Amino acid sequence: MTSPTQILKGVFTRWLTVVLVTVAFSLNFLGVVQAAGERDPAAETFIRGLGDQAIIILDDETSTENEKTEAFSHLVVNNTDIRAIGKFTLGQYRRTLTPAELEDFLDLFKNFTENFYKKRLGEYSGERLNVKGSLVRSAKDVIVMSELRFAFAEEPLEVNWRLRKQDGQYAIRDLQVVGIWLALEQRSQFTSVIANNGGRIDALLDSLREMVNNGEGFDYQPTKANNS
Amino acid sequence: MTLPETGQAMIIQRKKTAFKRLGAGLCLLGALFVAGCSTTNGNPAANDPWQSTNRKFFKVDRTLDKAIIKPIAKGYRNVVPERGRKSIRHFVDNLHAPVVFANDVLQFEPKRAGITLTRFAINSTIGLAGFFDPAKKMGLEPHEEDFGQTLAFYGIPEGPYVYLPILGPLPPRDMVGYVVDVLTNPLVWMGDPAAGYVNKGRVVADGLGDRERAIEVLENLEETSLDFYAGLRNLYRQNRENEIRNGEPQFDDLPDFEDDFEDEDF
Repeated sequence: MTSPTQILKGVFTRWLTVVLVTVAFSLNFLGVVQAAGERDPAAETFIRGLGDQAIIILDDETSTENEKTEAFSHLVVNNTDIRAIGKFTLGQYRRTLTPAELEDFLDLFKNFTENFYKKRLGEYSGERLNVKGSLVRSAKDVIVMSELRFAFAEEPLEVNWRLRKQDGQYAIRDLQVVGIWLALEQRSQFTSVIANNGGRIDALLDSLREMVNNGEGFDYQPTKANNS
Repeated sequence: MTLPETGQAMIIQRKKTAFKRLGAGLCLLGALFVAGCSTTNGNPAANDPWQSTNRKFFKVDRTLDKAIIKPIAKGYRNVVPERGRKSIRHFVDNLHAPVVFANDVLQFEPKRAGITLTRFAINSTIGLAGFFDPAKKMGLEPHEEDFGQTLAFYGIPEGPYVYLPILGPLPPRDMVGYVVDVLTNPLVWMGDPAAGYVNKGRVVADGLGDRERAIEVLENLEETSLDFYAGLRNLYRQNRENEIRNGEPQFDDLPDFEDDFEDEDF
């Protein structure tokens, strides 16, 4: 026979377990476990994993250049928070877009990003990624510091990754190469195109469409002297 | 890497009369700077009130670059082997050491000043007049400093963007810095004509080396750019900030990705 005390004890133990698991899960979910300023080993593992996968793709002698390009581009895009970056690159003009325009833009931006990495594939050959550390900025914002070592260059290239952490998953938000944040640089170009065309988002959409379709850059000139 | 300095595709030293002109230009710029601060345009965040003029100059530079400078840089790469180019770079950098040292001191960086001085002593002697860099092998890593960075150290803001033909991006703070660096270089005030020739050679070799190293980076950037001018403007600024921090990582002031309003993704 189980005494009422034992039943109560059992219920209490189970309740306590549930509470503790829930709290632990929530803390992890909210990212509270890692305080700002600390390292985040999981984020470092994420970047190290990406580096390893990139090497496997680039060093695969059985695949053609086209296959490598596709695989590398997919690897980048699948691990990047393209939608968030796309919105970020619109700067202050993000608010002026209708939902349909935003979706148009984000589709184009995804293709644009894929093309970007396809073009730059050659630059990544013979590199090795060495993760050096990480820094938790906030529960959802982590920086991973790394360096790229080239086969034919003495000096490594400093590369820092800004990651978004959500539900224990990581996605790339921005990339800093020798002190230059790429999403910031991209934003400067996009907002400039919009600003120099009287604040019209169409101008950016047209430019992006042209670039995605042609796969080439073009000599952009402001349409009118409204940039005084 | 010289990626954001690439706007300064090639720096050509002007003669003394040019300094006078620059001086006059600076006074004018000072006035414009004040005016520019209050100017608003389509994209105030860009802080580029003279954008249409800047873009014209940028276009001139690109034409010059395509026709003359880039082909010379490519020729330089083809004719001079990598080891030779490296030696020239070491020589040029070594000649610039007095300016770097002065700015290290002005920024209260005794350790970096010591490194610059020791590097200069070692490389000018054992390094055969600076053509080799034995100091680096001894663990004394090279670094750059200029008076524009010193002004930033003392809290002077960069000011509105300015792009000049040949000289590239030179907003007011960096323009003043550039003039001061030119004038404080011992090769300029030594008065010896030989020193003058060496200095001119240094400036040309420096610009050529920068351009040669940036060939691929610039090509890639241009190919993937929607607005090359705006992209370079941002690269210049980010790079200057990085230089001012002496390359020390700083992650405190990053922009937020989350918007202030409703966003289904966050």
